[in-house]
Amino acid sequence: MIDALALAGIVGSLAVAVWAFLLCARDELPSRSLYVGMTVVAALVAVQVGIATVRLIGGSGPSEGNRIVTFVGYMLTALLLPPAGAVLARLEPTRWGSALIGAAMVIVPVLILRMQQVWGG
Amino acid sequence: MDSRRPTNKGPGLILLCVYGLFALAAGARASVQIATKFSEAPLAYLLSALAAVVYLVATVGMARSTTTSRRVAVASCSFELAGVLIVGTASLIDKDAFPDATVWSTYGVGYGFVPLVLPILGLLWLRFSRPTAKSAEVA
Repeated sequence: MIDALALAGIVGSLAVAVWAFLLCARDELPSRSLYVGMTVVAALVAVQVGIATVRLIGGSGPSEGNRIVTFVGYMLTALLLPPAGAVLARLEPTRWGSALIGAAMVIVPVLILRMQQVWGG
Repeated sequence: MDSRRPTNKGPGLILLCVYGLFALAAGARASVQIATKFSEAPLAYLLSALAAVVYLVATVGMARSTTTSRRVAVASCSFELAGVLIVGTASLIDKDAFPDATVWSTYGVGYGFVPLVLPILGLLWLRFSRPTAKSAEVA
């Protein structure tokens, strides 16, 4: 885990969440730029996951089996949540599609925080 | 003309996604706990596993959005509400019975009280939505 990258992911994700909920409040469907914002967050998460995976294999981070499993679980969920949210939001081209992206972008920071907690023990 | 939304559309889609995520979270947590340290707190871990199954059933019930599946979802949400209230209260009164946390301990405090709010939102949404119309009725 790299703290600066985690912080960027958390702040970026929350910013996209606020943006998405504003769109919902204005009764607008997800805009193209909202999807771009979400993609940027997904990329930050993917880089973090990539680095964490390399370091985990190198022996850093959690050492006990159940903590490694827990970390990998959070890692995969954080990786898959943004694309899953995007696919579902496409199916709901209304204000609720925007709210769905907002909900996903609120959950991603929680997953990043949990990854940091499990990593540090 | 029924102006209510189908259960699996609009805000319901978000609700069932969060339900799905909780099924995953509770299920994964219970699996790890049961596989690695079952004897430490068998009651807590079995309750986590049960909660996961009920979340999953509620998710599928809402996603299918038929008359029957909605009834199943109502039953699951009611069960969850009862579970979080009973286990939440029990975990406060008798801490020794729950040496390790479940999703429902202290009304779901470990999950930001979402386990307490979720079944209430679920039941409200099921009340104010309708089954998805069959294609014949739409045409």
